[in-house]
Amino acid sequence: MKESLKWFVCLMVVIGVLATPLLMATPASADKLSEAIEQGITDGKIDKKAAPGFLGIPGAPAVNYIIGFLWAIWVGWIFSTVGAFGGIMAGVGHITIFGLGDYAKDFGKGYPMNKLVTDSIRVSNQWLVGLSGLISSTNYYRMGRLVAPLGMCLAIGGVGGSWLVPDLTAGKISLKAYLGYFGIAVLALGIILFRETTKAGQAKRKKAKEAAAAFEKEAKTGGESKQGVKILEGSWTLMFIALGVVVASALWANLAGGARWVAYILAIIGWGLTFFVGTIRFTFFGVEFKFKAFIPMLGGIFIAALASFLGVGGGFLYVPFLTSVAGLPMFLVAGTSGLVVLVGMIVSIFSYMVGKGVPVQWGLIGAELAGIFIGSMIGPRTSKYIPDIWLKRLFVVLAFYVGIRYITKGFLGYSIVPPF
Amino acid sequence: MDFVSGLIEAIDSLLIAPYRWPKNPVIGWWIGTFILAVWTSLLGKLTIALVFRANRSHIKETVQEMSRRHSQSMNALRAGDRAAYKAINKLANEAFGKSFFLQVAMASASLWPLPLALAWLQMRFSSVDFPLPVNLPLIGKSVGYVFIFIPLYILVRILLSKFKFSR
Repeated sequence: MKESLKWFVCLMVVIGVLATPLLMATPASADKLSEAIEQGITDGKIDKKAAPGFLGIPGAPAVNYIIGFLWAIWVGWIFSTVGAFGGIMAGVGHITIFGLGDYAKDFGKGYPMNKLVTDSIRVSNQWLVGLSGLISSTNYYRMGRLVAPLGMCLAIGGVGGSWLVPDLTAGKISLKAYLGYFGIAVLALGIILFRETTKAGQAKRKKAKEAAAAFEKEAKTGGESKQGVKILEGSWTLMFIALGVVVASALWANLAGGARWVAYILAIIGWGLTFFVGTIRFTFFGVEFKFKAFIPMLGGIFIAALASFLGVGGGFLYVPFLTSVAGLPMFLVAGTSGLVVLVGMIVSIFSYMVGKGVPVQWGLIGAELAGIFIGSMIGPRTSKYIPDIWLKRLFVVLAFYVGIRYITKGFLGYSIVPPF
Repeated sequence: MDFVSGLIEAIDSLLIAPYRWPKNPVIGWWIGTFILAVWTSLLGKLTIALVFRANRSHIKETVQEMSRRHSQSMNALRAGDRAAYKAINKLANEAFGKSFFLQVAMASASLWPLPLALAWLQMRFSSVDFPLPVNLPLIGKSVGYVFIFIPLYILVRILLSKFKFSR
């Protein structure tokens, strides 16, 4: 009971404090957009009389909602069959399919409208993944498989990482460079998927399944699904202080305006304190686990930074990180990391929309969300006809194509794969 | 005109009506926005119920697979077979990924009306400012419709969750 109360208080403080300013996005967004339009008109880059397109910008490409909707069905289908690749595909839609990438690029490097449209693409991706993550994270929270100290350590890293990266890159990165980095992430995912489809990868998987079968009988008779988590060791006080300090850093960065060095120092202090928390020990299903507090903290920084920079959910990175690097059982990291993703996304969207005043086209997000859930109903009905291995191969090809295209377009200025 | 804007304009008269019920525009704003939040929540709840019904057996399968792999990995760990634990944990992780992203995609069924409601509010109230009692840094003296609507939406979702809908 005491455990869940601590977790609840911690969660409410982080989400409550960070979510509230998210709701105040409108005035800043409107100002920044009209400023960028005015500048474009003054410099002769925007025709005042042209028909309004994306975000109401005169002369911008009018986003075709039907294409957006159909693309989202495809994204939903991927989410429900292969998984994580869906977030990447949502990004591909915003950059390429809707023609926003080329429009932003035409303004030239460093131009306000280029930065605004680039940031809007990132925030649109985050709304798409983050909003849905909210509901599913709540479901995992209800399942009660949470290790509060683990969640706190991840959040200490994640909260700092997800404001620092938008702060360091928003408005400073052009769409061209963003394309290149996005391409690297897609290619990396493609390589991971490819390794799973090779003979060695398949053999490893077969071996794992055989090992699993050996423990099947015990699993059936185990009947211990109700055993929960029991914390044996861990400094709560230090963890709460560290979390409070990084939350304060995010708030300072987003609301205080001047003296940004205070926010940087606060984030570093919060992260530094985690090194003094030491080892956290707990039992789960009667088995003892332990981890150094700074490991999930460092993972949290890296993953939240990457997720918020690319505008994709970090969930697909948290779970493999904690199961592979920290060696924790899947069930423990699943719900916990889901919540950290949510917190990270809130801070990140908030940083872009309030701190940096980035607008979003709501109608498009609505049409896309509708497409995604329709796709999620189609996925389970088609996946039984397509073997897993072939689905993976399909996405390996797609990931290599999209990755190479974006990397070359971003860093060389032209694509080495068609269309050039 | 795109179909989303067309849809929003088609239901405009239905959505704006409650705003005009009372003579006082401030009271009208609160009543109208509250009713909009109710519509948004109910539509989301209805859609997610339909999607869950459609995908019920598949969700059950993915969750069962996840639980089975988890139990197997814990048994391997208890038996002291660290290598088997790591291998099975990877399978469990994969099963979790499938279940998680399926539910992420399905969750959008519950949320799709929210951005559409925000789009309608943007169309109707983007030029309206709501004064704040204090001047906040970066925010200023006033806020827009999002500041009012999202807390109301969350409140309505919480209130509606108290009612049990028979399935």
